[in-house]
Amino acid sequence: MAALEDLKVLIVDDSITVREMMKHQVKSKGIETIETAKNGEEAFEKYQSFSPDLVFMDINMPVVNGVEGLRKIMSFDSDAYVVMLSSLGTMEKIKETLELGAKNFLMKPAEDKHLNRIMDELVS
Amino acid sequence: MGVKYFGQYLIENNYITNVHLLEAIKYQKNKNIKLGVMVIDKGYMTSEQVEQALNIQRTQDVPFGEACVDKEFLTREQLEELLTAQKEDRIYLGDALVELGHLTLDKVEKYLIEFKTEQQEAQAEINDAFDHIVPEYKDLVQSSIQIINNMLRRLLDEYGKVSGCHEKTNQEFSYDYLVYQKISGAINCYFGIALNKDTLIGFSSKILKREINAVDEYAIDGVQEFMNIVTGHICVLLSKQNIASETFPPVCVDYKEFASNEPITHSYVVPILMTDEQVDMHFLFY
Repeated sequence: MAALEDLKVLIVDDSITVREMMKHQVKSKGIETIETAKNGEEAFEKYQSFSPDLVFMDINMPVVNGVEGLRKIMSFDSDAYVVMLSSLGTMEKIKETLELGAKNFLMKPAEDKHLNRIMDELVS
Repeated sequence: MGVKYFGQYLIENNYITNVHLLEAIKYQKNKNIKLGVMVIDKGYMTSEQVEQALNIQRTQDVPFGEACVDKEFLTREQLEELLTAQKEDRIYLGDALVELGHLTLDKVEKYLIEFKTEQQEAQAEINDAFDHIVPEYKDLVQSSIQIINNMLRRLLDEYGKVSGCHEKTNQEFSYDYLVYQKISGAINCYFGIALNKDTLIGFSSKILKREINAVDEYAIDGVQEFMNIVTGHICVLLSKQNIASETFPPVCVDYKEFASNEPITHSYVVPILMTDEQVDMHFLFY
């Protein structure tokens, strides 16, 4: 498996604030190869061209929401490592996305200790 | 009157100068022994282990002592012994001011009693303020304020202080913007943050960790996302209590132009003081 700093990360959120916050957090782990997308459709296109090791995906987004984006990515690559990142973590939403293949579900703002665990798992 | 720190109270009342306070804080910092130093002095841990535990504390947001116990560098008993010793030897602000010769012990004791009395009254005032809220909304308002303070700390590195809770009347507020979200379902509410232009810009600069100079899409997005995160946590809280609710996306409007399609039955405003600014949280139930 790749070293932490070699990981490629895709951050998907319609809010520039969250994209910037997440970029900042991911960069602080030593990861430099980061792409962003604003909705589920863009995420799917970026997923195909960028082949990220890790995707952080918001749920409520215009055009194509995160659940649809997740569904598209998982049908394209069943090994995709997608972590849902939402400000609204109801049990139904958590269950729905995990069933679709999301590996984890984090509440915004993502806590460093959770990001560390996810990245440790990816590089171990 | 409001909730404040002892040092702030002493300056406000001219009992000491700001220079005295800064000296005393520095003195405390130098005199109070850190746990990382104590474990080495006691021979419980090596400096490499301290470094490892500090690294865990920084990256995983856990207290230093807990990190040491988790890594089995310290036993739980050793940690408790050290924490007790640390507490016993701790130099408080009053001690520091006496040791530096800025106040006598008698004066410190007198001012501390005055301060505690004032703080009890201030706290009672705030509790009384929340008591005015109709019972079905009281928990929601209080829990929301806790979530906001938690998020202010995490996202803006600010420690907000609640200075009361008022019934909202139309004429008493003159903010520039209201960033709000609608919550509907078993509880129906507009939940918003009212701020002035400079506060909005400062708020977003801190969240985005870069300078923003105008109320542009970035500035607005920063505050909207703050609200979105807070409201999300509130809805999870409601969901845990089996209160079904739906949230709508955040909206930023001119404060004077906020209009509701529903008749507002109860309006509450909770001012939160930050380092340099004040924001007012609005809870408008319909």
